Amino acid sequence: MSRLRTRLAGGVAGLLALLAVADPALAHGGAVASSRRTVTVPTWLVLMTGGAAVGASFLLATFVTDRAMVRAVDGWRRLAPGPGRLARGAAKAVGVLGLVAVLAVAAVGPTENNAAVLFVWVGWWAGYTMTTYLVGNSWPGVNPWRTLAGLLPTLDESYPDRLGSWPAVLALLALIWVETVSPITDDPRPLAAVVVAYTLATLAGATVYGADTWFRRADPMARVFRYYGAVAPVQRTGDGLSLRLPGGALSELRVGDDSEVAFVVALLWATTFDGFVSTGVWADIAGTVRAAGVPLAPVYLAVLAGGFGLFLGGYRLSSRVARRTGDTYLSTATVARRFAPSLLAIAAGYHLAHYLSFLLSLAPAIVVLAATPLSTPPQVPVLPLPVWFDLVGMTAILLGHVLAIWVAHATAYDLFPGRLQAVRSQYPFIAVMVFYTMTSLWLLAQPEVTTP
Amino acid sequence: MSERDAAAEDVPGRSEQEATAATAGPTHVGTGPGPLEGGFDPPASADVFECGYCGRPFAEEDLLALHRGHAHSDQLSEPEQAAFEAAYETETGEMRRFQLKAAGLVVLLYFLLLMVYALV
Ligand SMILES: [Zn+2]
Repeated sequence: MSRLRTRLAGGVAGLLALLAVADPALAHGGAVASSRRTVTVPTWLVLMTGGAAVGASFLLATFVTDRAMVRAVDGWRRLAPGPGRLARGAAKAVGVLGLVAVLAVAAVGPTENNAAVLFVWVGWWAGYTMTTYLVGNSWPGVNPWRTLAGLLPTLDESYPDRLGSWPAVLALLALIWVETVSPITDDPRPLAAVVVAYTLATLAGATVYGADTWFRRADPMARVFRYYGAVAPVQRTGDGLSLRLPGGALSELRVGDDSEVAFVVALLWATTFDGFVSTGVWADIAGTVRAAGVPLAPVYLAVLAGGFGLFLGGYRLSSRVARRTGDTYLSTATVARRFAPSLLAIAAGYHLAHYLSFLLSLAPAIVVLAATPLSTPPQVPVLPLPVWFDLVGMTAILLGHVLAIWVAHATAYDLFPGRLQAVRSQYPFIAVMVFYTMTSLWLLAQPEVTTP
Repeated sequence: MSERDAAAEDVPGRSEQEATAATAGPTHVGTGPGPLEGGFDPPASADVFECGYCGRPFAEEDLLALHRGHAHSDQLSEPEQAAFEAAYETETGEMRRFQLKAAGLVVLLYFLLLMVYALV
């Protein structure tokens, strides 16, 4: 027991060492962020430092070769009682009332500065999503569509297995597309229409295939929160809650088939795409395209689909290369499935980086608008954020990657009997992670512009 | 603690983990017992070393020996045990050399960045 403790202490020291390596990068990133307008340190150097920090984290992780310790870290848990009946009932009520309130305010509230619009995008899509990976996934308890579906009869048709989770992948990409091309991010009426459409489709699906099957397989939102929730420290178990180390539960997330791998990649791509279409580079491209008389909606769709294909193809290719560098006969599909959970840590880190300043700066606006949902206040308060706040986003990106490196390391040790083999199998994934770190740091460093 | 001790202690730690793993999900395809789930795809032309206990294919004899030692430690015959220990010993040496290079690379990265920051 004391030996295990020494090992755990060693592991913690190792993790701290990883952070220490990441640290100089952060300090420099901060310098850059605070002087971005006067440009003393160029962006390429921030990217290089970020990439180097991720690469160094991988090299340091290779010093952890003790299988028992790797498992002990991921297996660490403390049990706590689950929420009682009252709490579960309250969560359901909050969910359903929230949905009704959003629909009502979006339908009849003011068209400018509508509280429902702010609540959906800032409160829910940015803020609530953060709680699912920072704390734990409470969506199965809150999900108003699940509660409503429970009131409806069910036909219990058997779900067509060959569809896998592709409906969820398509639905997620479709929602992202609608979000970027339609005015639903500031106009409440179309937002209400989209929410009604989603409600009808979801309730119809749950009625035909049964609520459990529908929310487990086809519903995109339930899966988004389930996957993000696997990164979180609080996990639901059969008999209550268990407290884990962040990312510890990722080793137990079963990504069952190609369509589920595609969903993980789509989740990562969704936030990246959202970041990309608000850069100046994209504004220039979109401006040119529009000047040429091409409608923008299909162009957005093409970029969304093309980028997703590129991400998925890149990940598949890495898995194929990993099969060779890892000298294993595991199939490419198996390698892709087993390493997919590590991408979720990256997706969570990038989500936090992308949305935290958005959430904090608009948080006072939500409070003010929620107090008077049906009238337009003369002024909407916005919290000004200090310039150094960019540093928090960069930290989130790097921490997501460091966590992903640890998860990939643990996965490789779980998959492969050889220690060196486990290290080598990660080469392509690490290369991709270094590249993605630099991409996301670049996206974060771009000043946000309003695109056509 | 030496790597040898770590390997010896690996066994109880693992079986405990696997008791929870059976319900929780990880399959331990490479090292421990778990469903095969058709996850292998050995090339037709290459050498395949198959585990006599569970049928998993490996690309090298040493990897098979390591797999047997990690996954079927309580069933090994004398020669299999000896093969595991030999393979583990060899691998420990390789791992040490790799870690030496990794440490060198980290230091190199660090100083390269320091120099770049000094120049920019
Ligand atoms: Zn075997």
